Amino acid sequence: MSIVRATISRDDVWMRAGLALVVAGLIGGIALPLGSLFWLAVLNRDGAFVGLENFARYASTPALANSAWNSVWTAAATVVIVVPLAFGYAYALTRTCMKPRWLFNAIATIPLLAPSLLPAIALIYLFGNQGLLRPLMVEGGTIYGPSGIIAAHVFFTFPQALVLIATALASADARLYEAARALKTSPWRIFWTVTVPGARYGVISAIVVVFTEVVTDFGVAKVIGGQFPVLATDVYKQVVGQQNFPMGAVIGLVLLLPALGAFFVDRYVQKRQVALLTARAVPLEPKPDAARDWVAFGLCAIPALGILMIFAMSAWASVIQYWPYNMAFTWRHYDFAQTDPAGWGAVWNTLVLAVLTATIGTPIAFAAAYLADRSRGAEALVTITRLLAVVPLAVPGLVMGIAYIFFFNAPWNPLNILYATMALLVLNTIMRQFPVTFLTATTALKGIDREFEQVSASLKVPLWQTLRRVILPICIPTLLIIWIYFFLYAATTLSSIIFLYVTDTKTAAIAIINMDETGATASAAAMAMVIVVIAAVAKALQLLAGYWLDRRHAQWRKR
Amino acid sequence: MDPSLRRQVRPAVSYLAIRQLTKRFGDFQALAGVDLEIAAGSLVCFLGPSGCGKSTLLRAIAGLDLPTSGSIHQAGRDITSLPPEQRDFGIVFQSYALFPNLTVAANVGYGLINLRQPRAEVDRTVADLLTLVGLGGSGPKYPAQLSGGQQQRVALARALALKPGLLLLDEPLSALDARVRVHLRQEIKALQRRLGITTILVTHDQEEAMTMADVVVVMNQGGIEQVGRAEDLYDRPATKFIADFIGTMTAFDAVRDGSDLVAGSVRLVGTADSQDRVAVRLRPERLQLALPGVAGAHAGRLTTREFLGTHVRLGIDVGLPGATALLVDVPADGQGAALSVGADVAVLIPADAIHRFAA
Repeated sequence: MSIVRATISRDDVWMRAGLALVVAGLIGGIALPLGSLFWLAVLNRDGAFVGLENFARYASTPALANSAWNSVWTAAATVVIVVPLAFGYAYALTRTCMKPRWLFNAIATIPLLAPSLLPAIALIYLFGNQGLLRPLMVEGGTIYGPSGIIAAHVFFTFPQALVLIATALASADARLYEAARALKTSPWRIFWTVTVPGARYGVISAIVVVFTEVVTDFGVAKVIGGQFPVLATDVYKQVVGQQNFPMGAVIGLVLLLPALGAFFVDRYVQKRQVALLTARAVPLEPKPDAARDWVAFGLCAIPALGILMIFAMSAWASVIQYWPYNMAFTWRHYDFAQTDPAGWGAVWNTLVLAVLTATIGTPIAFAAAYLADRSRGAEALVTITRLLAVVPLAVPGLVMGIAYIFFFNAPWNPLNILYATMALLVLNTIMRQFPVTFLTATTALKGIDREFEQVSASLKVPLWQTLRRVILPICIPTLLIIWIYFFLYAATTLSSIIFLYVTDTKTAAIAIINMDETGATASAAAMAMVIVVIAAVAKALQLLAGYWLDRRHAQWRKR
Repeated sequence: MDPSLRRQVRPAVSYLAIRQLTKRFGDFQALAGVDLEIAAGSLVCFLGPSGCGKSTLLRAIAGLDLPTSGSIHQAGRDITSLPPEQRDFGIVFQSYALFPNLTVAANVGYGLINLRQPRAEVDRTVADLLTLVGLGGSGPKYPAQLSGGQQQRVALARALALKPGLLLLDEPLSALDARVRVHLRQEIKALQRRLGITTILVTHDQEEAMTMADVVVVMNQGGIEQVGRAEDLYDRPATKFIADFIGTMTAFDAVRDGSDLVAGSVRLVGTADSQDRVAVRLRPERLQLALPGVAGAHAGRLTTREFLGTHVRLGIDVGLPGATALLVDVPADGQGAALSVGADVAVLIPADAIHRFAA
């Protein structure tokens, strides 16, 4: 009995060649740099092999272990504050008739447009030594340290937690509520037996995302952390301060642990989540209830005011002569050349990085998702693509940054021509955001009938034509979302590229750190506002493009 | 209709030859050595319960999923291992799979664009095809603006555009309303006749298969149970599976006692063959009511009564094991239909109405 082997068609050849390219890119951009990080951790500063000596030294340095504990507890505290806040906000948005919902929705997404440094700077202006609201602080309290780190992160991680929880709450099945009411269940019991279990996985995801974000974020701790050491700043000190790359790698690997743990919790949750939703679910439509809607308004108003205040503070601080002694209006802090040698060049670099990352990253992420989802055969290549594509989810930006310097600076590596170029920053940023964009594209593609390709094949139409005429037009909204995702991340990111930039490729986010270090806080606030404006313009363009497409395709695009 | 769309009806020669086709998914045997010949120009239905392998077989013929072993020849060409684009077929899916961003005309002309024909010729062919499926003026519309039945016709026109030698229909009517379904059945059948195109239709709906197919292929557990015309399957089921799957039967097991078959207190005189234990199946419409006391009739009591429009289906307890009711169909306007539950009746079971299978 002979086994049937597929005859390879021209389309198959193209798809496999494309997949091979994707795999090569992922190996070069993710697997090899990370692999080299493990190697770096077992070398001494002169490059000789020392086995686990660095790890032993790390474990026996109390200061370093102390940082690990600091990272963990500030992250836990942030989770405890931000998740209930986000839950209340999400509940108000999805389950009540509170007004104006659109406004609260819009305000909650504002922090996504800012680098994590912005809330830190604004908090210094509000509660720092010369702070506007300094008198409100408890006696002897200080914003420099854990309280500042936690407060800034509450602001910064709020929209991420909100999106996850709101999505879970929005997908409720009205039939469950009707059944519960028909059984004369009290509202309180319905909340605990129907609402909370339904949103459970969204909440767990939010906890995981917030925790990881805080542990691995570098900018906030650097600006507002004062003398309070955390893992992320330790890595920076070891690598940039003491040039101790191997120890930086060791701490980086330690940093990998919570992120890795979070990654697996999240994967587990995602798997469980699928079973909860059924196609027959009836969407829940909230009914007006004056008392409840006013409570909801209150739940939303407080975080929304906080967000607006942080932004207003940052904007205001950037146009004040000399806080708090001369409160006259000025644009002088926007003359960045006065406080940073790169001047407006850093803004230009940010624009270049964001546009290149988004414009190169979007087709790559989409193509990788398409090839992995639709190629026939070539299972090995597909599996490797799927695995490598999500690895950066579990790798903090700082760790990836160290891995990149080590790998792309190595004399033996022919790719070291990329070192100190914008190309390396672009590659790093694309790879950092590859998981989310790849998964977004995959989700969109899974929603498109595979039968489109099968029908096309029966009609003898080559695959690229179906891709061009059918698949891509259907996916334009997804492509826009991926594009803006890459753009916003590239415009605001700090942690990974802090190790990779050189004078010529310094970005605005890095300029903020430098300005803050030299005490030019007002310039740092101004620079943060410039990033916000760039991000907001890009976001507005994406929304406009989406709106325009919707109008243009209204005939066939059902909403 | 454009005469060029009409294919010549060929004599009943084999167009598709499937030999020893197997398909494994891990430990699961989806196709267990299928052999099948399909005559040119015929409409063949693959019928069976879900998971019986009918879709797997269709997908193997289309090249969408390759079989594990065996061979498929289409018009004398070995196509077993070819990708779909190198085969000669048109396909219609249950989901229609119409390109939502293209107009109806662009959908139908999708494959024609590639033939490098002049634009005008493509337009004319598309118009002919749309007329053929009764959607003459719908070219500029988008699929979302059509009803389900209309969308399925567009899918059919698109599948026929390249004049394929083989038309594959994968549960094409399952997503439609019952009324539309019955109507489209006849239309597809008439269209297939007119074009003379060899057609395979996969369905789990036996009424669909029985009314449309020249030949029905009943599948079960990865194998073919029986191949035949609808009448063959209904009147002469080859296996117990077919007997239970097609139509309605009264089912019970009986044992041999001399030349009689015995089940509970029912004795079927002179109906035994060489088997000691048999599974007996009886069509309700082949049994007759009789007055109690008639020779050879089985006396019993009426337990259920179902009105089915043209006839009434009576359930009669004649002492079968487990109180299985013997089903008897009587004309709705006859005397039997007037009986009420609890009445004493008797049933005649003609010897040629008894289907016997290995128990």
